[in-house]
Amino acid sequence: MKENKILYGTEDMEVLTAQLDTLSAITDSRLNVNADNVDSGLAKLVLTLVELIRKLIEKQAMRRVEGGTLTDEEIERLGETLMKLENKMEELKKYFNLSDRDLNINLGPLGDLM
Amino acid sequence: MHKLIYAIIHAKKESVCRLMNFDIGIQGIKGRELSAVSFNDIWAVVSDAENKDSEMNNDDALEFAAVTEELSHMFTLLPMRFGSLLKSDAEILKVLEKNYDAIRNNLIKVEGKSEYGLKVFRNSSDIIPVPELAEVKQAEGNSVYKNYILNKFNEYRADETLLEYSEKLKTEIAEHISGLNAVIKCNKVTGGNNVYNAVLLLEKEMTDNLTQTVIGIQSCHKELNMMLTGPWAPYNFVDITLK
Repeated sequence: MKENKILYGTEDMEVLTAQLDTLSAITDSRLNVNADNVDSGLAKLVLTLVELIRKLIEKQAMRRVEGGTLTDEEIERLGETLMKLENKMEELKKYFNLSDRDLNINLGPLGDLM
Repeated sequence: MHKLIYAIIHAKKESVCRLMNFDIGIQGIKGRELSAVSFNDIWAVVSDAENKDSEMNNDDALEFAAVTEELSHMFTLLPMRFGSLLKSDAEILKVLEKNYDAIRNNLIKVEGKSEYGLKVFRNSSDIIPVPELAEVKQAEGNSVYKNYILNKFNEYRADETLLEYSEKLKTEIAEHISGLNAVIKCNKVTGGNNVYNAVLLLEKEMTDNLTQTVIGIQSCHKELNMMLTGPWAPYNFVDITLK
């Protein structure tokens, strides 16, 4: 752009830099599956969906904890399940060389998936 | 040779003739000549383009945005998505003809208006306090699983508090801006310290009023940093799917 587009704002470059990071993350977070990378492309897609479901389950669990209806035993079991699930996801991400950022697909006008 | 479409403008014939005669000194990407294809009072501003793959790099995208930007100073326009290619002028004419009503309706909606972006950031991540939660503090003797849940619960409460804060801020900003007759579209926050992220459509001559309003809101919130950008072409306020 030829003109300055900031009408008002902080001169703190950190804020602007953070925004640029977000923009580059959007470019990186598009699914790119082709004949050469079909394995990792599909792994990214599948793990993204698993991660989305895992986060939904986690949120639902937190709502139940907040509601105060769970017994100590149930909280124990919930903690064990969620922790193992998270650890397994970490293993899979490591195996397919994916980061958290890779699993947050950009849905264009709808924003990020997570 | 394909045709790359930059924008669809609403203009009288004479002003577009000036554009086609380069009186206004705008060139397309890679220095290519701009031309215009018209149907009634709407015009697609185009340049030649080789093919999609060779013209999809970041430099081209920036040049493309700069052309749209220049055009937006002169015309009411609907910006096209970067990479909008058609095979010929005749094909563009067909699209204009087929979508004339939808294009005109959108042009009327944005006539004389510009888009502005407003983002709000917290100064630091702990500026909005999470309520003290005695019951979820880690206690000695808790199992690793219970502590895991308690940590997750703390994170959940922090997120919820931030969400609540963002919603309040949204209402407050909408109230302040209501006098400017603006259309506000709130987008998802971008993460980190971002607590508000919106685009606004309002009359071009209201730019100073908007800036003053934002400064007013900022003065009430020392814990926040506001960033107002614009004027932009109305990228986020075009509601059209070309057939």
